[in-house]
Amino acid sequence: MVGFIVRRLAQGAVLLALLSIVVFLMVYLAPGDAADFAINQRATEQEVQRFRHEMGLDLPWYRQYMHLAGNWARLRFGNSIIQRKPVATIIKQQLPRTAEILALSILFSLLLAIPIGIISAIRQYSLIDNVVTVLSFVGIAFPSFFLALMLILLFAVRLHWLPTQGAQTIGQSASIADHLKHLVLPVLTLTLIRTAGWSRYIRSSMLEVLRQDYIRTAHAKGLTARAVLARHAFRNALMPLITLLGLSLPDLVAGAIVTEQIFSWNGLGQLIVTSAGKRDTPVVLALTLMSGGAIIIGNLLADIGYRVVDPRIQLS
Amino acid sequence: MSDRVAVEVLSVEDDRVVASGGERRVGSPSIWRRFARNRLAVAGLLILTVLALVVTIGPLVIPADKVTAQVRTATFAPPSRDAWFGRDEFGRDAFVRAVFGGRISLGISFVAAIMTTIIGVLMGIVSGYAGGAADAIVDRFVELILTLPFLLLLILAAAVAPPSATSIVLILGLFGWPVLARLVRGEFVALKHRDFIEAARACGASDARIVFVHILPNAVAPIVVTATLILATNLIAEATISFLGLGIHPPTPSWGNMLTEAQRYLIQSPFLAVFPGMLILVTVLCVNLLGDGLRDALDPRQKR
Repeated sequence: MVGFIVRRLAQGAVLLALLSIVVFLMVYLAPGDAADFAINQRATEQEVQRFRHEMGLDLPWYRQYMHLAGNWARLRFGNSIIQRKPVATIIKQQLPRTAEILALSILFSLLLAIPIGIISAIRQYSLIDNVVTVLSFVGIAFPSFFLALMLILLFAVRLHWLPTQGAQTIGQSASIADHLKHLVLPVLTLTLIRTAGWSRYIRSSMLEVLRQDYIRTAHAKGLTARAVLARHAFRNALMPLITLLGLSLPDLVAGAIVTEQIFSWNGLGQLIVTSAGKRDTPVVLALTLMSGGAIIIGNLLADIGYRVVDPRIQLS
Repeated sequence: MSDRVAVEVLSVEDDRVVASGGERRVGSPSIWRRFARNRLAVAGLLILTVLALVVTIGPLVIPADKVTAQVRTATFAPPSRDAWFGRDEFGRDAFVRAVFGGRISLGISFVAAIMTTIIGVLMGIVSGYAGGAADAIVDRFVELILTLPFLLLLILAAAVAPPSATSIVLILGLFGWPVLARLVRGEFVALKHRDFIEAARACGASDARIVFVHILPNAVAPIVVTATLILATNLIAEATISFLGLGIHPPTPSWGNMLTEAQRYLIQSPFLAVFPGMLILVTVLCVNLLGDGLRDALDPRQKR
């Protein structure tokens, strides 16, 4: 097991290194560079050039990359060219905001999708099941930004219950209640879509389990339906959740890009879009590597989770 | 008794058993009939066809200048006989924009899906059938691309590429194939050791013939289903990218960027958001239903 983990992490490190080169080149080869976006519009060509030189943006690509990579190896993540602040500071500021809406949406999705999926499976083809199936089909097809706009329309514009933007009401002092009000719509958007997908997954997993011989045996032994479910079915049906959770790890970084855009939620998603647009390589690289790292670790956790839950599985 | 047959030699005579041999169960109802039994899938197909027709024929019938023609006196007009979806902040006809935008959105998604499917299948064949070094190389690529979330890759690429329909098609096509390639590889690895393939090889079939005539038709089902998933993903991806301002830029309409503008004017005119959004939703929904229906119809192990 340890050898497996070490190997996967090593492979992951290689992949991240390759990825960093690819992403760096993508930003480098794009028209324009950070100097164009960092300086005031009215600056003269000379000032832009000077800035470019100061930031080392006129060096050949491999020199720029080696510089970045060298710093990275020493865990110095550099400064944002556009914001002139350390990358680490910026990320530390904005990560919690993304993480909070994502974590809440994952939590609520679990709380909703598990019962929905299970009930749907137990009462297959019933009215509840059909309604759930239709809703989840629709939910999967719903573009997140459209859902967000519809929710805003309903709750903010028509009903005036909730605010539409940002994390705090400007002008008021920060209070938890206010923050909570701002959280509702973004979290609701993310939760609905995730629940739609997850409930289908859990439903099919549960159906799969209910078909098994051991369930039939349990019934034959005389266990009540409830006991069969509680003692055998649930446990086995919920195993795939480990995969789902593991695969949701990368969402903590890049899972709410569009939602953040709609709600002006100042998180990592917005950061990625603006940094990419402004060719802010240090930030883009940092976020990319975080994302890639999250996927690698998430996949690893999912695979380990499989093994823990089902000891018959051999890890390659 | 297994219904599977391997007929390399008996190619033409028997009209029931096709030359490709393999898994086709002789005697089960035809695929179309099984598909037709799924009413939702059929409905999805019909709606999609209607949409495709409207966005193809529309631009041929409606003069192109109506897309940008502004009627300054009628900004934010609600739907009327004159403008079926109402008018936007510049007084442009939202229905016309939706039609032309639909052509762009659907066109991009469709072409990119075809590109992804072709590349993905070819890569999957190379890696699954040939194995060895080719497999290693292709798999590295696949892993590399899959290490980043799809949307993130798209955003990075779209942010740095020149904004045009062609870029988006290329971006979607180039980043979408790994998933399909993995799937095809899996199918090929599983199938290439089967008896009927051995038999074909023993009859002297060349590799190319084995791949395209024998293995591929038996792997078609998951490929087709995944292709519809890819189409759905592309639709949402293109809309998302355009919504973020990285894809199709206004004034050229796309269902995605119509929503960007709609957000700003949500209070004045909610329909500006409702119509394009519903179009995306309905299209993706139909594609998903179609894919589900195809999967059920093509699955040789279905008991129903």
